[in-house]
Amino acid sequence: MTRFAILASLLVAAHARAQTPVLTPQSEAGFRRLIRLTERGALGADVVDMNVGIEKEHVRIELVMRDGGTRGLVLSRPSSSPSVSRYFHIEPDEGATQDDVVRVGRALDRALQADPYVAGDFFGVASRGAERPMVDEWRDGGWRGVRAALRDRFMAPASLAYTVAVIVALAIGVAGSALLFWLGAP
Amino acid sequence: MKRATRASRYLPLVAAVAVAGIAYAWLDHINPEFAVTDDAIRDQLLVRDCVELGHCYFIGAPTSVPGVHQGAVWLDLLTAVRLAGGDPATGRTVVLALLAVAIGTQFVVVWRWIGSWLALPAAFVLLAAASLDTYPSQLINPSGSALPDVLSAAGLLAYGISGALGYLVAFAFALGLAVNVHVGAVSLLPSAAVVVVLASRRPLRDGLIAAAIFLGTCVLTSRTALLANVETVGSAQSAALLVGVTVSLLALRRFSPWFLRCSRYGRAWIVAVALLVPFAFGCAALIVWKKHAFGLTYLHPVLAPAAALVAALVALPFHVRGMPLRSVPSIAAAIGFASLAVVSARAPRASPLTGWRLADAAAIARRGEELGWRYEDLVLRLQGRGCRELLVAMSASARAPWAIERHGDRSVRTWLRVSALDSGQAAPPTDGAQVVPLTSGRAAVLSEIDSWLQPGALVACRRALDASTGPTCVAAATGGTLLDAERFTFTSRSFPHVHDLDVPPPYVASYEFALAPSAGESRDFEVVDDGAPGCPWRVTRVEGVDVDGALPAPRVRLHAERGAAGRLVVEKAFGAPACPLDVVDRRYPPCLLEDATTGPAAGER
Repeated sequence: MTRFAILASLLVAAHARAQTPVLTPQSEAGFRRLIRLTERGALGADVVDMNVGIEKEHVRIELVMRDGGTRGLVLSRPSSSPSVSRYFHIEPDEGATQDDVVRVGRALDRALQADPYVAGDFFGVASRGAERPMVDEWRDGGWRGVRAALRDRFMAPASLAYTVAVIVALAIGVAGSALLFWLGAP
Repeated sequence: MKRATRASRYLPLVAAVAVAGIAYAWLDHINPEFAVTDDAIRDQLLVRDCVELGHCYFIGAPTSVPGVHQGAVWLDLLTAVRLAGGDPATGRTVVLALLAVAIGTQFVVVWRWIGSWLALPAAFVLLAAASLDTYPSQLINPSGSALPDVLSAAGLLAYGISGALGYLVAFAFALGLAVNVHVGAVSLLPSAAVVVVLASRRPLRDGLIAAAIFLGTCVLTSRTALLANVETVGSAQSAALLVGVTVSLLALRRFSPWFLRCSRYGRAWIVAVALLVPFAFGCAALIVWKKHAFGLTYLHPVLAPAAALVAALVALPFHVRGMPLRSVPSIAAAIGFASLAVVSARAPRASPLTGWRLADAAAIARRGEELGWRYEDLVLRLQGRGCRELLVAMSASARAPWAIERHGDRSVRTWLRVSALDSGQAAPPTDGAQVVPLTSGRAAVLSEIDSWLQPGALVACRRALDASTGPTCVAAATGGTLLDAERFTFTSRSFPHVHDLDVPPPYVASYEFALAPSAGESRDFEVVDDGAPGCPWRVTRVEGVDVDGALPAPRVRLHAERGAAGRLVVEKAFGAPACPLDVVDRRYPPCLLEDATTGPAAGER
């Protein structure tokens, strides 16, 4: 039975997708701290409030200035080059200056205690990194490595295309079984 | 002669179509339209993640047995409906159609494998059993179990009588589906082992083929649930139990020659017993050892064989030799079916269950989004009669958290109040209020209010009823909920996980609402509670502001001399004799209605 399960998992996991890191609802607490810091004047006396729009891979920040104006910034996952913030690459947008980038970067480092990007989906099932070939798992971790990798693949969610294929297969199977009993006789 | 043979072959098919048609009409007649429940919305959310985000899960909801999870085949069915452009109403239609096909299949199988005299009574008893609850209207997984359950039982019956491997293959596939629609069908596994050992001339080969097909179906459709459940039940005790079962099966094999010499009826009786006995033992174990709140809904794995057995017990006295009225059971069942057809066509349909309709909740969620409120904001900041039910319904149509732009931090002094108005009532002239037209001529008024309540500082606590230990508290948070991959548990967005504190019942749940009063003003607060009578949420403590009257009370009037911070505490006992343990209720803070004037706003639900 176990062998069959392993074989089957190898077959069906072959097309599983690599996961791109995304922002999850867990990051909200950090951005709330950032808003509170802003309200307390951490970004300077000229910034009185902040609007934050969290998207899957980007964050849009709008600084609300004392004079009623706004300045926009776009936060994205940092590349390998140095950045003013530990966890984000910050691009000024809509009236923001490099000074705004620096002070928001510093405030972000105070507000966020960990990398908010998670390699996975909303429920975090697939936050275990991209899949590696089984041969690599065996080379690095032996039997335990293969077992851990199989476990990860059992837990990774499927794509919609896979699910559609399963639905079609199940529908054919159910129809065939029903016909067997409706038309079959002892 | 050939024509007569062909007629006898197709007669049960024609009759089965008629039986299924009447069954559908009857079930559609007695089941109300889709009813919003937490479980149903959770499943709709999982399906939405699959269709819209491309994240399709191989695991369904946790079951009522800790550590055991449902599979994902039920979600696959809902996904198919959604991909075809259907909505929950379409899902209800599909579920009822599958139930009707299951009843038609029961008719054909009993006709062909047991006898035409039992087919109609057995189908009628199964239809009666399927009429006992309104699960199809709730669109939760047991409602989709009927067809795979009936196919499983039919496969085992046909294999037990004929020994043909094809029926065992069909059984194994159907059981793979049934178990992953609702895990209760796992009780058919030991039944299958018994029948294979008794009926097969090559039990090892047949058993391995069936196991491969069953496991293959599980891996294909629900491998995460399979892994979770294997890890839960996998232990030294389970291994010992497996050895015991194997030894018992080897002993049972000695009775195989006797079984093979039995008549068709004899084998059918033995297969029926084999189907029912493991299920009965399993239920007894759940009730006695796990203190499981067992209900009619969980009978679905054995409903078909039990219906056939009941019908046979009723019909058999009419088949005693010399009895002149052999057709009485079938005639009575035919009259029953005809009566159901007439009632379905003429009597008024079942009235909708109370509560919010999805369309209403979707309209309110849409307008809330336009105002900049996300579902996660609303969880702790919505006011209105029946607001918990509204939140549940809204979560189905609320967009994913990252999809909505924030409009500042709305936690400061603003709550969103929803008032549902009947058609005859005029909308209150509140500044900035948003009127949302609802179904049935009603309307909802959404207004942001200047509240004393500080939802961001809400604290949830639990303490044992005997007060032997201190309270366990957590700060409420409004973030989304997560799947703990290690523990295979997830909660949907309708269950803020911070409220699920792990304290064994009976216990007292309390929520501490921080107050930021305005100096010199007064407020009325009322706890909205649709729970069991005699066991309400009540305000038990108020700090920092003056309160009129005695506590505890469901409604209080507060006065603030100064603008100093205060606190309002509400409590309810769960699991106490007068208070049933409502799992849904205990995971939400109660809704608090706040009013600056006397009395609640007119027309609120």
